[in-house]
Amino acid sequence: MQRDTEEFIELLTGAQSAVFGYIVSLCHDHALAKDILQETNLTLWRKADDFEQGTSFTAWACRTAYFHVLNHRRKLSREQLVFDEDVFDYLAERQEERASGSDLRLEALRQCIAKLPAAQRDLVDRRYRPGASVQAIARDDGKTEGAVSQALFRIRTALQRCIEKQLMKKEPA
Amino acid sequence: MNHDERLERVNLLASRLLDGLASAEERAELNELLRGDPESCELYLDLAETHALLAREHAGDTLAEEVSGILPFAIAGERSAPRKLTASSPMMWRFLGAAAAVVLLANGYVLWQNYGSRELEEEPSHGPGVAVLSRVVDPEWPEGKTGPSVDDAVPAGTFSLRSGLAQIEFFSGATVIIEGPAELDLESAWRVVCRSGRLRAFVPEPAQGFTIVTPEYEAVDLGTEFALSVGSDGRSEVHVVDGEVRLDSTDGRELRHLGAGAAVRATGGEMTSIESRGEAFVDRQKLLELARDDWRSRYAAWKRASEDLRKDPATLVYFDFEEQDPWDRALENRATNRAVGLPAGGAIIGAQWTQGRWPGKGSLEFKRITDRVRLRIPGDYQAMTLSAWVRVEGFDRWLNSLMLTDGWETGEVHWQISDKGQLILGVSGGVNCYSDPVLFPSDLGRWMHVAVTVESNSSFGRIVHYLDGRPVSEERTDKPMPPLRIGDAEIGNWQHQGKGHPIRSLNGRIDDFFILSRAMTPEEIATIHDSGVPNR
Repeated sequence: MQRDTEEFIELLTGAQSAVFGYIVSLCHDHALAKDILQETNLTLWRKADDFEQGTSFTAWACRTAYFHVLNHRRKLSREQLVFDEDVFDYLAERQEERASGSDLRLEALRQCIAKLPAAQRDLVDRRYRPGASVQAIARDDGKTEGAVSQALFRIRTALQRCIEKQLMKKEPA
Repeated sequence: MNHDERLERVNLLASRLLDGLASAEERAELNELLRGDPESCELYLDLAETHALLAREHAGDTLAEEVSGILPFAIAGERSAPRKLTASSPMMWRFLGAAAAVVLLANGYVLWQNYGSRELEEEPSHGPGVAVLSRVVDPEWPEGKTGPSVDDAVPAGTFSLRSGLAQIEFFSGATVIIEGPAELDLESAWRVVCRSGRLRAFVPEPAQGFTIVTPEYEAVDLGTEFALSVGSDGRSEVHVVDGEVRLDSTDGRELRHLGAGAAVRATGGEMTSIESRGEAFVDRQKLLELARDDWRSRYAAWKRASEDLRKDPATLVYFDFEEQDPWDRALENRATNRAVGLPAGGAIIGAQWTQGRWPGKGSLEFKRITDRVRLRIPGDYQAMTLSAWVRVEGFDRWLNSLMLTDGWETGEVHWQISDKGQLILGVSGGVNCYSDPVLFPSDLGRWMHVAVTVESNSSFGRIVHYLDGRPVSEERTDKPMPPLRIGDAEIGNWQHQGKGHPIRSLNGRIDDFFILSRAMTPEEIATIHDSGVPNR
């Protein structure tokens, strides 16, 4: 495919959330994931010719991202690695398959955030605004990092249940 | 931990991980909980994906800008005027930096080729040694010592040989053949103290000045060849075969200057000229002949031992790499009592025939990233032994294949070497056993024996790695392990079905490879090693 067609730009733009989610699932850190996403985008653009029309752009983008994640993973010491190779590979494979459903999840997530109590929604906002960290929230609120993370854990669990319900409603019988 | 508790724990650990708070123990625990449990993996992925989506939702609507930022020339209508990008913009710098990296990607895998050995390369090229042991014939080392192997670096300090012959190549360029019994002190690459024993030294021009110290004088070689002996009574002889040798007193006075054919005996402070008998000392040609005899007898001993493996009914495949023609592309399975369904051989792709542990012994060289041997072994197994004689030439990649099953389905076995010199055996859905780093730069280019035994059943699993006949690492688990499977697999490479995984090709030679459907005992593995050592 020609890289400077609107169609390619659209595909690339449309896949950003899915690929970002894919990278985060493998490297956990969303600041690092942002950098890896940039590298991946550049590779995708450079190698646009390799993309076969009619195949899944998201899957192709995830496979490209995989190499960039591995590249970063290679720089980590054994102690810094979270997942062993087998677990890592399994997660990579599964998330690539899941990535195409990312848009549905995003839609469900938006509805679920709207349903959160105001205090929880506020904490989510503070946790995920650019430059935010659990450490900063803990400092501002005079709480321990563990306590903040615990509160976020409860919110994530609630969101998770809500998203599942939302997605189930959409699932064909 | 029941199922719900397990998922709850995954939930908590994943949350801490995503918040950047998980400790090393928590990260390891999460890894273990996810391993082999698809439901836990799904939960983790749900949380990670939500985390990512939340981060993007809160990053503002910067998405289109980000994309256009890295694609400055790609936006229709703006090709000639890259928008908002000046050399001082961080995005531009990122673009330029990334562009440089991507050039390497031109043919896909180049990027991955050079990651492997950085840490290894940072080590000194020959360790703390002063020389390399280059050849031995029937060496016997002092009691309780295994002694160095051929091609090992020889450190400074005492070098004792009870009997046999050893050839040492010093980093100065001098080569010394030592006849046991001998007692030396290697002070440096330029200076050796001979307390007793017979030596023959070859000193090419770059090594002129190489000195051997005896109890009564220092023999300084001015090029090129001399023999020297020191008896247990301290009496010494020096015979100049070729070139010149200067004998200095220990305080640096010149005592004698000897030319080719000259010989001197020193005893009790007196020096007398004697008839030269340099030819009585083992020279390089003689040593090579003796070494050849040694190879022949070891080669024959290995062949005899390999007969037992051929006949063992537990042998699934045995590749001895023998009696095959250079044009053969089928690698013959020499197991003679094999069960129905086991293959008659493997398929050689790319890898070329070359010399194995001894001259005349066959071997396959895996060099290019496409080189491999494919094999298919049907069936489920409760236990397995994998064994190979291998000469690794480089730890080129993060993971270097010994044998990998295609893909990574439950029960499948992956045997590989990491770029850190770890031996790794993984059973999909079971456990991975990583040894400590046991291979080092000094192991590159030498023949070594690697083996691993795996036991796997409904109550426990056990993996033991062996290097050169000795166990080096063990992993036990009380969890059930799936039955072991190989199916379609590759020696020296990896074919992952469908996905663009990095290359794991081996850089090295293999000249003996077998898989048994039982776990060999440590004694059996020691025997396999001992009967196949290329030299002592």
